[in-house]
Amino acid sequence: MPRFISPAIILMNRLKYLQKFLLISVLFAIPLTTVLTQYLVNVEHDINFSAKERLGVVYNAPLVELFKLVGKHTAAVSAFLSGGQTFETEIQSIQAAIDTQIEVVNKVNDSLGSVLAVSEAWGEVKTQWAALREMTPSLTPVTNIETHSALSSKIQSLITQVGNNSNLILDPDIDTYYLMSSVITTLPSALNYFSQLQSNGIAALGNDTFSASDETRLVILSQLAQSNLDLNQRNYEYAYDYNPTLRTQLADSSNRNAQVLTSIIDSLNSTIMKPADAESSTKTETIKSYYTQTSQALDASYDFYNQVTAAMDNLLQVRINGFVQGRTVILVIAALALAATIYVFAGFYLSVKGTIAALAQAAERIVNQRGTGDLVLESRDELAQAAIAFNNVAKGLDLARRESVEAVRMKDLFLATMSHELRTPLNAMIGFLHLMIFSGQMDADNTHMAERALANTQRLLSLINNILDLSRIATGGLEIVPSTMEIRYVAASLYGDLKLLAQEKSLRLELDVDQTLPEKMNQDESRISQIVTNLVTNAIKFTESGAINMVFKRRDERFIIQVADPGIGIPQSKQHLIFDDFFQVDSTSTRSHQGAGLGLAIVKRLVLLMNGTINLTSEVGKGSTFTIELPLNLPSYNPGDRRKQAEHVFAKSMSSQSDQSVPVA
Amino acid sequence: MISIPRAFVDWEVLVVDDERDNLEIARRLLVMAGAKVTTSSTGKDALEQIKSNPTRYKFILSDLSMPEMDGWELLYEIKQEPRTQDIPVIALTAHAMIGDRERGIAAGFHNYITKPLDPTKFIRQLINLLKDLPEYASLLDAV
Repeated sequence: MPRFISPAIILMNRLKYLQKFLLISVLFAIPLTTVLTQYLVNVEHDINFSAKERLGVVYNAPLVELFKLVGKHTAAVSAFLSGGQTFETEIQSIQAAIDTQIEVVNKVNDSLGSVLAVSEAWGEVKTQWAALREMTPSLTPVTNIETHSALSSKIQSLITQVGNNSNLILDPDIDTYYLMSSVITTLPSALNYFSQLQSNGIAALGNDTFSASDETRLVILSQLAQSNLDLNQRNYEYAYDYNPTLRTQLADSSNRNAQVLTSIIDSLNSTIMKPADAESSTKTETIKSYYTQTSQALDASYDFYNQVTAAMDNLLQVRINGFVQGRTVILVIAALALAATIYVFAGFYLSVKGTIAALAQAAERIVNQRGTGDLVLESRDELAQAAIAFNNVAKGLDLARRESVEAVRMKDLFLATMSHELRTPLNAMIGFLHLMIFSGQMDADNTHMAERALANTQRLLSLINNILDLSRIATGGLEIVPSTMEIRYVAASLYGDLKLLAQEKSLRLELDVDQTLPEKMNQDESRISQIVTNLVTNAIKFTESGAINMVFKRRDERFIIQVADPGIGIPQSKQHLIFDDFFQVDSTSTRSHQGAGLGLAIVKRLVLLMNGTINLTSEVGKGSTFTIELPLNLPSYNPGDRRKQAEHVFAKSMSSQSDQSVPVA
Repeated sequence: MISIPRAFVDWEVLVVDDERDNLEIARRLLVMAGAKVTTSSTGKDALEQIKSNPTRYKFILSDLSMPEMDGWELLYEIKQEPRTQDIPVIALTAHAMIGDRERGIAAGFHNYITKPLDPTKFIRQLINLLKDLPEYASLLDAV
């Protein structure tokens, strides 16, 4: 494994699964959230940007209408000054329209003026109009055009300013950019020139003398109007190239518009350039007709202007819709991805948890030895493979455990069988040797040999008994079976047996049975005998002279058995070892004491099985004292009921005589 | 040297056991105690002996585990028959388990002695068990 990955491995090793998931999720989520947030901010910005462009469109629409009316006003005043008295009502209706339009713009300005930062410029337009309206009656043909030109320029520059401040000027798409350019700059400019051309043309018509400078001005205006119109048309071409649908939408109208506007120049040429010998009434007619003609052309052109504005606004709307749609799609995808991630991670986590839980349960089953720990796994991943490997190990272990349990069982069975087979002949040997001795028909020498044979046979039997007992205690096969025990009888009987053993080594054995001991106790008589026999034989073994004390007494609710000897004693350092299996203080091969070292180990275990304690006090050279404390266990059994019980239980016992607990004789 | 008390002089005693050596040791010990011993190696044979002369035996020693008719069945048959039901029957058991003594006594055994027989104690054990019965009170003198 490459070195650089090890910190990550160490980190992952220390985290729990839930923490691992969270960490990985967070590591993914941080950049994704950043990117997503950045995207949302950008989209929001783009939407706001385009929305502000649309505000510009909203603001400009009434403003351009005002622009148109002001141009019309110029022409009307110009016509009036050129002798068209009938234009007074026209002028008044235009002024009224302008006033109304100013209110319309005012409303728009109230809501958008501050956003687009044009309130001040709008204020100037209003002031200028108010002044112009005031001075209208005193205008001369020259001042008329000058003051109106100034106002128109003001409005035109306000239109441009709205375009600038509403981002329109910065529009990012080619089609909308060129439409914007037309709407904000070139088309108003062209319209302004055509409007001036109209007014100047009317003024020229009113002049009796058509001077060269008049002509020059008209020619220049014509040129300017034409060139602005051409520029505007070119803008459309660029937009069409980028967005062909615009061509179908606008091409016809824009061409018509160009023709209409050009017709203003044409009609000016045809009207003005004629020799000025017409009657004054005719002149008025001419002016009127020219005014009407050009006004219609300009109105149509302004309608076209609105059409272009609508097309552009539509594009902006489409663009904003696109942004909103894109944002919605991204958000929905992000939400779905997030939900899917959480869903899958939850599944992942629960799957891992399930595998681990199954593993833990299986492990617990193995530990508690309740089956093989077989796993039922739905998962097929690496963890499940590990679990399956664990399962195989568990199966192996379980097999080994069963084999070992079976082996122990076989050993126990073997021991039980063997001990029975060994003891049967030994017991017969002991019986017959006793009978030989009891017969009194042998001489002293034969009796001695029979006694030695008997003693050795008994030792062999007791060794076999001890080994069997140890094995049964170790495997839990030995049970303590308490029944009514008469301690004085048992003590006397033990004393009788053990005294003989002591006498063989010229030792004395002293028996002391406490008067306060109850006559009968509920104890396992054979095990008590075994304990005392083992302790006393042990004492005899390690004592060369003096008396061994065998004491049975009562201390509160405890039954005390004490065996004290004046023997060699046990060193302090070995005292804790003497109850171990096969232990002897002197374990050298030349040791002076016989025995397998099983007696005390059995005593200790029997005492524990009987819920008692064993204690040793010993001093090297002075002797040892073993003290055993057992529960007193007073019998609850009443001998007076014996016969009645016998009749009651008799039938039942007969029917259950084949039970497991029936003794095998 | 252990002495065998001659407590059962001229007593007729029946010993039942399928193991020949056990039977012989018990017989010889009882003979040393003065008894006249009849032996049976099957329960069936023992039952015939008892039925043929119900008052003959002062007590019966019976092994528990035997082929065909075991000690429990033999006891059942003895207790069924009014003429024999008062004969004390002492069980010879190889192993004692929890409740065996109580159950054995409840079933009608007078008492029990665990095997293997200890020749040095056997007669004293018998005396000890039988002396509770009033008709055998004289056994106390023998101890």
